[in-house]
Amino acid sequence: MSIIQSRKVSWFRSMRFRLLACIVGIYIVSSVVLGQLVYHMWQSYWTNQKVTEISRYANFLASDIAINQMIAAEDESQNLYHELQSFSRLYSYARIMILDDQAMVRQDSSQTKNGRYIVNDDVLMALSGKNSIVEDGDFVRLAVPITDVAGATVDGVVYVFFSTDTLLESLSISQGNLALILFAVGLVVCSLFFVVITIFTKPFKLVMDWLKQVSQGNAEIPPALERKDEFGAIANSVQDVTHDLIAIDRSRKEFVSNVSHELKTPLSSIKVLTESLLLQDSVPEAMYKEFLQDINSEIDRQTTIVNDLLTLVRLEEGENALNVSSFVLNEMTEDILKRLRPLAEEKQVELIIESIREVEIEADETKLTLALSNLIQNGIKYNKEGGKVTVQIDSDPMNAVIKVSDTGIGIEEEHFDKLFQRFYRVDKARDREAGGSGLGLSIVRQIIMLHKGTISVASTVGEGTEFTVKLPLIQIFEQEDEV
Amino acid sequence: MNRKAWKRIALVLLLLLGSLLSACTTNPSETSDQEVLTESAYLAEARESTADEVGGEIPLFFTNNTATSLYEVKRTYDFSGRETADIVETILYDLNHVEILTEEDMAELEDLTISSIIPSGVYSSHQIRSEESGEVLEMHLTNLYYDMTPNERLVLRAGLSRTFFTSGVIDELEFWAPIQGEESGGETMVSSSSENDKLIINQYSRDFYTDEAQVTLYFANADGTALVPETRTLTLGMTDLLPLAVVRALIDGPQTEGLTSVIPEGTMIEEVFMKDGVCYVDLSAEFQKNHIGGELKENLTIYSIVNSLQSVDGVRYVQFLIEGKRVEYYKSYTRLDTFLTSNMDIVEQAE
Repeated sequence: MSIIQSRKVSWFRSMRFRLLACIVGIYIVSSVVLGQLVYHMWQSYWTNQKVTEISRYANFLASDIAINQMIAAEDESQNLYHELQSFSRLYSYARIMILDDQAMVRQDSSQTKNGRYIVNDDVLMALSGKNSIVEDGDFVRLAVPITDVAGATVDGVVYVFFSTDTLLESLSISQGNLALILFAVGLVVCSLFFVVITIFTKPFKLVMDWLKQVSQGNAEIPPALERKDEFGAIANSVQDVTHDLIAIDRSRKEFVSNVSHELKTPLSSIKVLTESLLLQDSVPEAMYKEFLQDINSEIDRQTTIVNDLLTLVRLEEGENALNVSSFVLNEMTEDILKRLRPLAEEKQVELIIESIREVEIEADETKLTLALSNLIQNGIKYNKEGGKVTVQIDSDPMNAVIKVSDTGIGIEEEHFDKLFQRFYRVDKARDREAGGSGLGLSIVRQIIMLHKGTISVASTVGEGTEFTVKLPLIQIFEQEDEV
Repeated sequence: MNRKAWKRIALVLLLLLGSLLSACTTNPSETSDQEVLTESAYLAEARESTADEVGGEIPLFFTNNTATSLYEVKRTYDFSGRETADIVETILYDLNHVEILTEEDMAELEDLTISSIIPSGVYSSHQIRSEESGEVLEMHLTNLYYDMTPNERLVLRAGLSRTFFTSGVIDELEFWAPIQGEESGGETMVSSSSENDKLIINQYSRDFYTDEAQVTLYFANADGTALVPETRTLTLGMTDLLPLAVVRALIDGPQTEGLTSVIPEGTMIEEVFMKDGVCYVDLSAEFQKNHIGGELKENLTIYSIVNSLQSVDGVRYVQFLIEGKRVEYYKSYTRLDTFLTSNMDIVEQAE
């Protein structure tokens, strides 16, 4: 296994930095947004309040002046002046002028425009009897008519100018300070966040360190990673994968050793036979023939092993997708039995087919033929002389059920779970005699599994063995996820 | 983390920020394109007589159907070799006939209800007479004058005044109408205007309403023994109060060489307002705390403020407050719990 390389994570690409950048960005944007929103809502509200308040005062003033008839008479300037002063509160942010019906300024809170004639849209509107409010940037101009008590004539105008940008002045917080406060808070928040994510991303380093250990074969999870959260899950998954890989690796080694052993055996026989022929000076022709026949059968044996191996490996790798077609199982079985009859007759074994019902199945006919053939051949091979092999074909609502039973020597229970392993031999000596590659049952099992079926075995020593195969009648192909 | 995804997020954030910041910039002032003049410059320009050149550009005024706007249209006239009466006739004719407005004029005015400032049926006749003060234009109006609303009358008066006084041939305007109730045909003068009037038309800018005022400020002399007056012209913002500006100027300090300010360091103005002839000066605690003390020095400080304020029209008394509260003594000597008037004894006597 390769040793996991120590990979340096560049700071700018690291999760911590990116998370931090994200949070800083979000904070800045949201605080700017929020700040501006709040500020503008407030500004707008405050402006409206101001306008209403000053409007109210201006109307008060106009009414007061009208009631006291202060504008009609020329000598009322003192009273007018007092009137203006009684609204002194407004002076800090408003300029008030009182005009008569000729638009002449009779009183001015700043005392500087007295005697001017001010003619503009605001004043004209007010003289026509209507209030005029104009917002011009952060300045507001308000003109209120002074109507006489009867409401008949307009005698003058109360003209007010005021600024709406003193909101922040009254708060003693400038926009700059607000930004500063937000910035300071932001710093604190971001620092805290940085600490938090550092704590949270610590396990990554733990995992990295542990993986290094794993690469050296130690897959035990350290206590620090025995957590119930995502890191624990990763650690557990990694451990499972590692165990699987180790197991696979082991089985691979085993497979290679098995294969080379199996292949070596016939080769050694061939070697022995060949050498003995070569060593002898004069060998009778009959002996040559005999030895060559032996060599020939060893070669055949080896060929079988290699072919079966290839078949098995291909099946395992899933390179052969199922070539599914609909066919009748019983008919297939009969064909197989017909083909194997010569072999059976040689051993004087009877082949019987029991069709409980006719079973139509969706499956890969070629592969199933191979599987069933293997089972039946085994039944023939490991049988007594004069015994029989029975193939029973049945079905339940979901599956086809095939039972292959023989009257052979039987298999001890202790071998059952290893039976389908590659190259597994119950009795090495006897198997060699019977021939075969030792892969037959592995192939059968692989084929059954490809069909998503099951195979089980039952046996009594001395009496016989029965293999039960269940295959789904219909093959459902799982939709592969879009990649 | 996908590069693309990051770029998209960054872009969105930037866009958000940008749009917000732009939305936050305050709207430009409506009157930003209006020429900003000070009052004196405006009045000087308004009075510019073109009659010396016998002609030139003269503003004509029109209004809308509710008389709530005064529209100015400039017209160039050539009056060379013409009599005053003739000139007046021409101008009056143009003022009465909205049709003289060109398409360009109309486009600029943006109002389709343009009408003459002289409502129909109001004008009866006119006369020009010579006085010592100059030429007087008498506008004789019908009874319909009394049906005019105040804004209609103002529009008429202001428009005619500016137009004729700019032309240079007329120095005074008089409006005559039949005496109400009398059928004898007698007339009375209902209003008048003179070219000396300070007529301000269509000014809205706050800068126009900035004022200048001349005040006398009192500072201490070099030895700190007496107060010395300094005359200064203060520029007031639109909503500035003169008394406030005075106190502010005192805090800022003298402009004359050799004088010193006697207002303690760090003094802030809480508020300055006037009521019934009393000027209330509310100052921050530093005013009291940071003063060294001593009878002469206390008096100098207090009366520099009081004397300066009394130079402002309408200020009869000055009342001090420290952060909104009345105090008995300034430090140890000068009493602050009364209404103060100016003390000329500590003012340096002129040689």
